[in-house]
Amino acid sequence: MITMLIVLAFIVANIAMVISNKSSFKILFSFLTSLIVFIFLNNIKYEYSDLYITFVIFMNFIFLGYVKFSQTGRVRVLPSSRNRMTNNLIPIVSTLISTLVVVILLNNVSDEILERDILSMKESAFNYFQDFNIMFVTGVTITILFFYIVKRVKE
Amino acid sequence: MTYILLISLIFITSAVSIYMMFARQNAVDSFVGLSHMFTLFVLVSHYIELIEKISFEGSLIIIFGVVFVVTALSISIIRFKQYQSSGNSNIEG
Repeated sequence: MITMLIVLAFIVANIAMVISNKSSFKILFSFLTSLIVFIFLNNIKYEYSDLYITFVIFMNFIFLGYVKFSQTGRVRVLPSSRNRMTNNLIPIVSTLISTLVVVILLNNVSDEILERDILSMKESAFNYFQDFNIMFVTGVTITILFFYIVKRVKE
Repeated sequence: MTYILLISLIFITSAVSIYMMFARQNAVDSFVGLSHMFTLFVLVSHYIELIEKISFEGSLIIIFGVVFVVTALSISIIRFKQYQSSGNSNIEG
């Protein structure tokens, strides 16, 4: 039940990220999806989830810094021809390189998905609302949402 | 159940990142697609660990994280340089 809830929250956050217009909200929702993945990895006791959240926070910091700096207007000059090459080439090249690594690794994986006893992990029966961290995060999110809605209603 | 969850998370992440990276050509979309690709690679590496019963001991996360952070830094620097020389036609907002 709680795992289905996690997937539902993930899908809702993804849809909100795709729909949202402002880039700050887009980065915020993508960070929310990364947090959901982090909670999931933490729940199945993956030891290196701290490394994952560290890199995600660092990347999101870079993205937000770029967006906020480009919104100041200090860099923006007169509109001219679009930069088609360098903008869109680098992520594609980097993802292709990383995909190659993953394909090389996947080469030896046998198809044992349907076998039952291959996994040592079981269905998690973990009460999420006893964790203090999750309670804190939900409290902070609800307060931020409340203040945002109050600000929007006033306008 | 957690197995199915992991697989579905991998599929959703890949679909969203591919959509964000190719469907709309905006800076923020490619950034968000990059971070989702990083999530996808971490999930896939953990999946390989579970199936093969081996442990990478976090080395793959470090490699992919460094690759993607350097990519993000270089993208932002290249875009700023490009904008200073020839201007910006799409406004990031």
